[in-house]
Amino acid sequence: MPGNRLELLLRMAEIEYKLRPVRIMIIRDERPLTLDGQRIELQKGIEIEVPYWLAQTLISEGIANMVESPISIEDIARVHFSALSARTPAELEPLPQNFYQNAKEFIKSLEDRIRRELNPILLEEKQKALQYLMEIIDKRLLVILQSLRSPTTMAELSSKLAPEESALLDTLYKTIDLWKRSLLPPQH
Amino acid sequence: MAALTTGVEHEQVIDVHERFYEFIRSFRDRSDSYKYRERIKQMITMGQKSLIVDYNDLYLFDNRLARLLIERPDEVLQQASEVVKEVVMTEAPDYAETIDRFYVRVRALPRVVPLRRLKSEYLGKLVMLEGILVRTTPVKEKIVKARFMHCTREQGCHRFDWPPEGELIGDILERPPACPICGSSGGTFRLLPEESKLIDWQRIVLQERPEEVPPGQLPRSIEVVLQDELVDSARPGDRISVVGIVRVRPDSVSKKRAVFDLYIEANHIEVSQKILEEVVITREDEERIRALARDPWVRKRIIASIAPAIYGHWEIKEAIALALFGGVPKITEDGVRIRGDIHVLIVGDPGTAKSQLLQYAARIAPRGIYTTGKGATAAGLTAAVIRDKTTGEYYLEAGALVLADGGVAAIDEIDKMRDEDRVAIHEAMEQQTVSIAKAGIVAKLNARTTVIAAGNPKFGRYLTNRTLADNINLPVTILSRFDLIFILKDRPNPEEDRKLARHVLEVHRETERIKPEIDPALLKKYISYARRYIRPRLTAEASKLIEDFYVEMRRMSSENPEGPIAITARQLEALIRLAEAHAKMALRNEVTREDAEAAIRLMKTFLESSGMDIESGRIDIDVIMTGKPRSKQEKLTRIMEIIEELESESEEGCARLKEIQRRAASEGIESSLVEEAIRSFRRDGIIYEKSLGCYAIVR
Repeated sequence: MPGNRLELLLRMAEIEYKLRPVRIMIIRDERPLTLDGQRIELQKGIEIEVPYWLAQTLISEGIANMVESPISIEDIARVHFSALSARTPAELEPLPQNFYQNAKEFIKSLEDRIRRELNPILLEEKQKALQYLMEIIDKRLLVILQSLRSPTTMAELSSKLAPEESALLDTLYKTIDLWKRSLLPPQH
Repeated sequence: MAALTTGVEHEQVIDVHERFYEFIRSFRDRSDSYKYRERIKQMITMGQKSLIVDYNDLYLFDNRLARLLIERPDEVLQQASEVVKEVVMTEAPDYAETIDRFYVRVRALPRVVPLRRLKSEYLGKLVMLEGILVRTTPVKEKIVKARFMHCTREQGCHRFDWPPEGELIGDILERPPACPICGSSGGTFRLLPEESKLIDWQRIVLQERPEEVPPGQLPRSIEVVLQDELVDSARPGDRISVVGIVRVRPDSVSKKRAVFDLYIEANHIEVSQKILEEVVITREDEERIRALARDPWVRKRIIASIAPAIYGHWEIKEAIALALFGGVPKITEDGVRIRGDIHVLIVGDPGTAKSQLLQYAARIAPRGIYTTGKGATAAGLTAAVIRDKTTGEYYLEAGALVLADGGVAAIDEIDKMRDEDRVAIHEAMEQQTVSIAKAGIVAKLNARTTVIAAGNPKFGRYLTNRTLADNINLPVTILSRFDLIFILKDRPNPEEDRKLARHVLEVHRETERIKPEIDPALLKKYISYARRYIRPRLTAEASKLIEDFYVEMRRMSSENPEGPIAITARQLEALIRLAEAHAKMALRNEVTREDAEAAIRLMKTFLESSGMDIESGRIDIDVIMTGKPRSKQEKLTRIMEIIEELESESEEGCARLKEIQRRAASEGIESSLVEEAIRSFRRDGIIYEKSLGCYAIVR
């Protein structure tokens, strides 16, 4: 089923995101961890590289801090600007790495903070981020749909798409192809 | 107030004045402070008239307004400026009354338009450009509101301002068609410059960054007009980002042609501080760089990756590699800057691949410029004040060393540089600045540049029986500033020649097989990474080794007072730089014994190849520092003494050439040297020819 395939591709993109290595700074001495037979020292002050899922756990436990700066509303606004400025598929710019996942997490982290802090600025920021993300998705979706009509555009576009978008394009292309074939008489 | 419509997406009506007022009044940053209200207060306190707005803030506040600003900057900025005036009026009315016009300056647009892609479609729009400032004119005053005196026989004389309220004068000041007071177009209209309103005005030229120019193409440039507070905010050689409105004007003095030039009316200028940030290093690149650095053979691989198509020259390639990485620049507490750049000179016979080595070095350097001694631009290597042929005005133009600030300048045929550069390059190579004071333009430009230069021998081929200074047409003061000098001699050697021939034939036969050990793009990133993040420090062990080497070389000189001086403090500093660069090559933060040994080895090779005293056969730094080996210097001193002796002995009060030669020969000094010495003494004004063939000392 194409739907299942899309789900699978999206799930794979998510797993890849969680497994990607990130750099963290250890802020509390803890006993070393063993992951995949590899020993990870948790010594205060050192910088180490771990998979993202582990980094999240260590951060939530107050053992580490993320070294890389997370995505911000300004970053989303920048992507929004460039996405909405593109008039043709050729003008579409590639998204920053892991954009959708990062943006999703950013909005989720804002929601968590809003629950704790009750700050109207945060609420406004969350609404803005959500609105921008939706507009980015709409605009890029339009370009993806346009490209389905021309294989040349599709080829040019594929290098600029995020894994989640590539998964959609691939599924749509295959579905349309299947649909077309089912309508046409069999060729000998 | 007129409402503007956005041409973007859906047609929507925006009241710019109201929205901008709302933006200034209500925009809060993450720290919950009213950012622009604060900025306005600060602006009033500092006596400024420009409010700097971050484009991103405006975009977050109202993206339609932000887009309208890009599409129709003239209207939006005009209304924004009025809003600022209104706000200042409420905050500090006295101050607001003293200022004619407030400016809203926009910084950091989300997209940079490459200079190469700037076309007429951007006309009248707000754009951000990045590049290198290559030229500036002196600051001038431009009339924005002219005061005219209109005199007629019937009405007498009266004064009026032109153009009417709300309008400003453009590029050309035209006589009013009619007097706004009496309505008459007759009589005389006289401009009163001292009663008119003037603002500071300056023209600069922005050029594409050398690393962005596609191979084989000329760098593009565009004129930018700066007004008021923006004038003199950047110097030639600075890497700047300019936000401004694209304008157009006729490309010649006669305005009848239909061809026009684009130029930028600047709204905001920012000088970029990020040296080497232009090379983008992604996380994946960093992984690859770190993996490469873990290889114990990384240095050899880097050296082998420099111009792989060129056979041999391992030590020169090593020197180029070290120069590309560079030492660590230091600034002492009292503000003295000690350069970290390693300057390398290659002197060689024709056809020894010098230019190719240089071109390769410029290509893989993160900020590299390849030029010849004559220089591609009128400014040459350093900087120059040049007169524009069409307008007749003077402007300051940066040369290659200034444009390559923070990077590498590969200078081919350095011996053929202009006389002006010969003077200025001393300062550029050691103090790393270029000072200029000409035609009313006084400036000091940064030239923190590594020089990798090549030159041809003066006599066509390198003559081994002459000193280095004799062989190249460069003053010794410049020669002594190079950390390493290599001499490439083209001598037939059957075994080597066969190897070279095989290599060259292979390059021609199977070009694809000649691949560098490390991909040039990755190597460029590796070098950039090392220059950006690695600051190696000397370990005690390495310091001791360098110290011992220096002291030992000096001791050898001191033991024999007649002997040559092998090394000076300049070479000591060079040794430290080389050792630091060697550590940087492996991304290490410590300069170890191994690094110091490598630096000493290279220094010895250099001293032996170019510092060798051809008469005594020993290493002699005077060959480079003074152009004369110690032994020759001694002979010259002796000749001087002979002249003095003979002068006092003779009745004529001068020394005859024959006599000097006879006495010198008795002390083993050949007569050709005597003739050369006399020529040189006369040229330097030490002696003069009192009567034919008889010389006396100038006292």
